[in-house]
Amino acid sequence: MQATHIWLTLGIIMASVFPVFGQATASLMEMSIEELMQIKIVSVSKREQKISDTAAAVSVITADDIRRAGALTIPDALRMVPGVEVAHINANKWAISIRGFNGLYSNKLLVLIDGRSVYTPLFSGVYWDIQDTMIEDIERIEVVRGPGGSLWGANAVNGVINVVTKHASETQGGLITAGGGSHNRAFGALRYGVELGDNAWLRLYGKDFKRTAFKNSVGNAAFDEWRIPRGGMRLDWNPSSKSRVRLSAEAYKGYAEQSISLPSLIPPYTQVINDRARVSGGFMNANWAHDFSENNDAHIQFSYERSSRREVTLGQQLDIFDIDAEHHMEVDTHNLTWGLGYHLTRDRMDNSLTIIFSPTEHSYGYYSWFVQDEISFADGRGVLTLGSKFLHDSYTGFDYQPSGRIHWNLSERQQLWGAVSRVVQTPSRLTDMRINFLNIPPATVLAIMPSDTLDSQKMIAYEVGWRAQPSESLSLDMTGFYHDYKSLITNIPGTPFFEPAPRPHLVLPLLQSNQLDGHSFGAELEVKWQAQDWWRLIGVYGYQNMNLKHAAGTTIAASAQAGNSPRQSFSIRSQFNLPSDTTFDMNYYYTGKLRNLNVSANNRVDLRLAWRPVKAMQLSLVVQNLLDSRTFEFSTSAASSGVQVSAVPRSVYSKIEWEF
Amino acid sequence: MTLYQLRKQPHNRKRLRSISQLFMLLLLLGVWSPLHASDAFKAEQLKVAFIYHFTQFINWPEDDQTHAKKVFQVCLSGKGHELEAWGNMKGKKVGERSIQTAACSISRCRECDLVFTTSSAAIKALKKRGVLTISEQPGFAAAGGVIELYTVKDRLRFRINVDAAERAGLIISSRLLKLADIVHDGGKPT
Repeated sequence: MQATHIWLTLGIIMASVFPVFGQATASLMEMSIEELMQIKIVSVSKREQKISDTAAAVSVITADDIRRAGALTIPDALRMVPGVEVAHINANKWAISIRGFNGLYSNKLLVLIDGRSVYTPLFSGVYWDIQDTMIEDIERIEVVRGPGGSLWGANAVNGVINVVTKHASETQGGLITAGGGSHNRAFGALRYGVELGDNAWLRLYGKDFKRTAFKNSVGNAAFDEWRIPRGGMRLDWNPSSKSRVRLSAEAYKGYAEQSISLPSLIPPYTQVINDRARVSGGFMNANWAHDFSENNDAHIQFSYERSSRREVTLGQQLDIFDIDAEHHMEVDTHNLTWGLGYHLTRDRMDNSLTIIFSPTEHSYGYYSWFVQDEISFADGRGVLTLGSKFLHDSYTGFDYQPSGRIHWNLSERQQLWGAVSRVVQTPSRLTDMRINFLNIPPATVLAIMPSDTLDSQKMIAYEVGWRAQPSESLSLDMTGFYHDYKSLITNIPGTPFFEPAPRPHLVLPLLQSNQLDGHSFGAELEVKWQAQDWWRLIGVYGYQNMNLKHAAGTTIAASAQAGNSPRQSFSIRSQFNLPSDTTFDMNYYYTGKLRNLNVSANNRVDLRLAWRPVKAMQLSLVVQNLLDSRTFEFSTSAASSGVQVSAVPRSVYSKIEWEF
Repeated sequence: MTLYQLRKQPHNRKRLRSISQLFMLLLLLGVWSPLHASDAFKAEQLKVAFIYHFTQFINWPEDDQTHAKKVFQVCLSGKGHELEAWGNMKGKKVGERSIQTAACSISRCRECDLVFTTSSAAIKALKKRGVLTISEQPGFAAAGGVIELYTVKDRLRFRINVDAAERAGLIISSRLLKLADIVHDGGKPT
């Protein structure tokens, strides 16, 4: 019985693969019509096409961009996007943000992988060290700067990053990648995709890597090795021509090391601890989309994620449930979308003397809904989008987030857009936390205290954009923004008090409070130029200027948050297609100085040379950070939450990719 | 909902199990090379090939005036055609007549033997003897167009309105009809 199954499946795979193997275009005309009916069309993603018509600042990084930048991690890929700040803190930690507020736990981004939110509800930030997948399976990364474009979520204040992985039918057959080098010591991945009958596709994958430590300030190895093996699957199934089901799951277990400075009540009062953080977890995600008719469709998505992280300062285990449903229909000139969602987190904390959650176990969540109408006018030349998200959160109750956007086609090759949106960020579980972050010898502790009076942080964003395609080979995308922030959370000094345990000491409390206001403005530019058939140039520039002010009576430096991000950054990428299936890519990134963190401006150059000796195999050699043997991209500070920064070394790796 | 559906189908689960066994088997035997992912083609090129094949399985009415000409005129009406792909038609023939391809507006499309259109508005104007109308517009065949192309699982399929074909005096071979989804005016299936 089992044997029949095997041979049957084998037969199906052979039959579906053989007849169309290696046909040239012209020979399509020579095929029989029955053969033609077996051939697959390259489908241009509907969504991707829409992006050029979006009234928001959107950039898309393709699989090809990621490969040609030599990026092995999602953060490395994000360096290419204008307005996105990416700084290594140590070998496995990054500070990543959009339009300001950078830090290890920067918290104004919504990050999604295949529509599943991956920021931790603990501090509304992202543990980038566990956000990974097989990099070859990423189809594209969509980055929306500003609050635009997001229908969902409470966290999309300054931007949304959405990682989209390939449909399982796009990853049929096998792929082995392996490589190694100086810092990226060893990495490898195996993926295999099969067709399950006529209308379902499956891929299984596994990957592993080991990064060696960066260097500390005196040139010795830092304590920041990183290794997280993971495995997963994705199943795409079309039960009918109108329904699409996606099921994916992944699990990982590994470690990410860090050196972290901790206060203590006994001499020497501050210790730097080498901590190997153990991380493990996994998720499952199910999505069902159905077309009721050409102009009427809906989808529903469910995900469950468990993650566990053991650090010297905190042990945590989180269970996250999320369900959302969305319905879309077109009526006349209206394009109507509405949806509902519910997000629930259950956590369990193991406190330390530094970080104390109270209560240690908690359940909290939010439900949200939205409605949006895209109205086209002037024969489809203009589109007006009106809508609002609504949110009900366990911490702050009800919030509304309306937006209005307009998009206008000046001509087939030129578009203008503008948008005004209000967005809020609700307080996270962080408001239940006390951090003893500094000890003033002999017995005074500076501590950030829990607060139950916090309100949402609010922002109104004004954005304008211009896109143009002056010729087939040139495209320009420009955005200007003004963000008006209200009630940002900051710390104000409270009344000192005495604590008898664990040793008698005085506490100087800092109280979290919505007392920071301010604004930022800036511009982003992206130019893509196909200079020759074989030469493509991409230039990106970002500028931003932030000013934050404390409400009267508070003193802690407001410049702290404003100065953690560079004013200016730009990059130029050059992609050569050379003869004999060789490509050569040069990527140059400039990041302006981080004024508050004493980090000077830095220049980074990555090079990649790749050769495809046969169609199924690619060999590549990558040099990262060519110009400098040691670059500090961030500094040890409150913004790194006490994690000791280490320097990005000059490094080299080679890689082989083999499809079979 | 989705999960539930999947679990409920023991059929699928069995298949999954056998696939994983196959996977192991392949790993053991090292049978890699024949299993290439299928090459995919650009949609427009595939459509051109389909349309060329249609012309080979259809007889145009003898009394059609245009039939006397040496040229078989293929017209592209509406926006968004990739003319490059249509170059593949060059040098091909329908019977004795050489295929020529041109973009045209609806009013001028009347001189054509075959019209590939991106707009359903063309149907009325082209309800005429000797013109094969083809479109990808959903509902094109039901609305009186002769052939409607559509995709299922990334593969191209076609639907023939036999009433419309009869009105146009087109005789379609049974081989083509067998492969098609047959509809009548108003979209009633046979």
